[in-house]
Amino acid sequence: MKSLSSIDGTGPLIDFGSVRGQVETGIMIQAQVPPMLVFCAAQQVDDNCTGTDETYYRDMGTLSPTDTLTAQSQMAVGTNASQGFVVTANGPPMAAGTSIINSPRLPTESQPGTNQFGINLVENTVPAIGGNPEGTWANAIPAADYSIPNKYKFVSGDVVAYSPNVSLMRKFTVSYILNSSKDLRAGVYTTTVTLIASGRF
Amino acid sequence: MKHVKSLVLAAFAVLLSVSYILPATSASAVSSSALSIAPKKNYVIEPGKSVQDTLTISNLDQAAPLNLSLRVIDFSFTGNGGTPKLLMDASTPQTTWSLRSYLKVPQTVTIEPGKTQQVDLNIAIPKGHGAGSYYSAIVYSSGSGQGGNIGLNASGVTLVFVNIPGKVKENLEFTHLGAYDRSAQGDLDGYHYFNTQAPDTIAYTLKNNGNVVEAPAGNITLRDIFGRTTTINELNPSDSLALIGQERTFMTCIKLKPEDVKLGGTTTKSTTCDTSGLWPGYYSVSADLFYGQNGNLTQEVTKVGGFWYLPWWFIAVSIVVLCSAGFYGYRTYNKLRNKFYGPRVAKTKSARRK
Repeated sequence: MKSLSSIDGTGPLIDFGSVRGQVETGIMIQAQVPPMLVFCAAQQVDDNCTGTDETYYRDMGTLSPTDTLTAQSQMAVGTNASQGFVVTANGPPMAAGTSIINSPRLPTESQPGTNQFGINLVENTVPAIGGNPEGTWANAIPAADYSIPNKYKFVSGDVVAYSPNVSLMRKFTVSYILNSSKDLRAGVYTTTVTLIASGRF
Repeated sequence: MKHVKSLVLAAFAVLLSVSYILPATSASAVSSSALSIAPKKNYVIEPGKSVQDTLTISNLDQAAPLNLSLRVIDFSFTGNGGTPKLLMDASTPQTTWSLRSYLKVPQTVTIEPGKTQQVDLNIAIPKGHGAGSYYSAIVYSSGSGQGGNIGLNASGVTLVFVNIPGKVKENLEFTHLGAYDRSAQGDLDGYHYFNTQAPDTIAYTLKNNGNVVEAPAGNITLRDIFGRTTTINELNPSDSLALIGQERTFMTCIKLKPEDVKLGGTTTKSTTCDTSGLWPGYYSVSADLFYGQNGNLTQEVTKVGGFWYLPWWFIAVSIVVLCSAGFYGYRTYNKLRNKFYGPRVAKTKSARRK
């Protein structure tokens, strides 16, 4: 810092000095990890979503009033966001043209001989299908209505799995059951289930 | 003529052999459904200005490309928790807080196996736009299921929040406060006045009557019957939000336990509830909360509540102690009575007649 005899910065130098500053406390350098949501779904997926079997549909067989048709898929999900995640299941009812197989709105046992399409996310014995969630992060769990063994429901837009806070990768198995009555109109019954993973707010 | 005929046959043979040798076209190639996205984005944008940002999307599948279609939808809330209610139907009218008209993203994106890509995001707020909070969601759809009885689609969602600064309407109404069971996920039936297990969570519910999302701050004090206090300063450790019109339950731990967690090669901080260490008895709970956007007055809401913590062992011990006290008290009373007034004599029939 200089002081001069003129006001326009010219002329002889009067004084020359400097300003010294001292940092009293240490400077903390922080790196912020951006929140991320990891999700994958297919008939079979790897635990950490590094691969899937790339199969996104399943032919369940021929409908019969005495048998329950079954299928299963898997999804893995995790997030480091402090608010956690939710996974919802969305889709229309199973239908062939205007003929529809409705889904129970409450968890219900599989009842062969009735029109019924439902899902759950736990291991079942009637029929023997599905599996319990896999992975060490126990705070990621199936929603209450979809975690009762041998009981199935499907309401489009329902939360089927969630974590209330940080939860690293956990794999869920989704079981599908399909029953039909003897009066069901003949046809190819189809639906597409869209699993949507989102963060919470 | 014969020459032309042989030429056509030769061309057909070449076409047939080429179509036999070549693999299926990439147009029908199966897409990956393994993605990593940002779950939430926050921006502050003044009216008449815009933001250019990027969305980082990773294809975690090491073998298949990730073919995504992107679209912007509105969302509201489900219940009292932090679950977004996605309004997937394209014909749904825009919400009053919608960003759909201002938020632009590409319609499709293809990401090679194991790669990460930056995708442009643009938000332009028109001049003269009113202040407040606006939010919508970006849906990334992949893994189209075609064929069979059941098709499967996998989608991810990024929630996008924009605050437009200025004079906003802020009003939080305190509705509930007390010990809470986390498994209730924000529902009001998660509040328990009598607890047989030591509560580790205190919750409070606020109704947002304003036009801006709110994240309250402040503190909660627990006081036991001996006057000992525990103060909770981390009222909103997850930075949770009360959306416009939502009655939102916020949860906090009586004792927080910080943890380091690793995901995708990075480490981040997480908090879980530690054992609260509460003693049996009654606890009064008082909350003093503050909220307010930049440029607006900071507002305060307070509420007092309470709860009992009575574990089964404490109830059992209390019953045993009370019964013992009653039994020995009665025996002592009888002893003293006999000492001062003599033993009780049963009256005979003839004595009673007299």
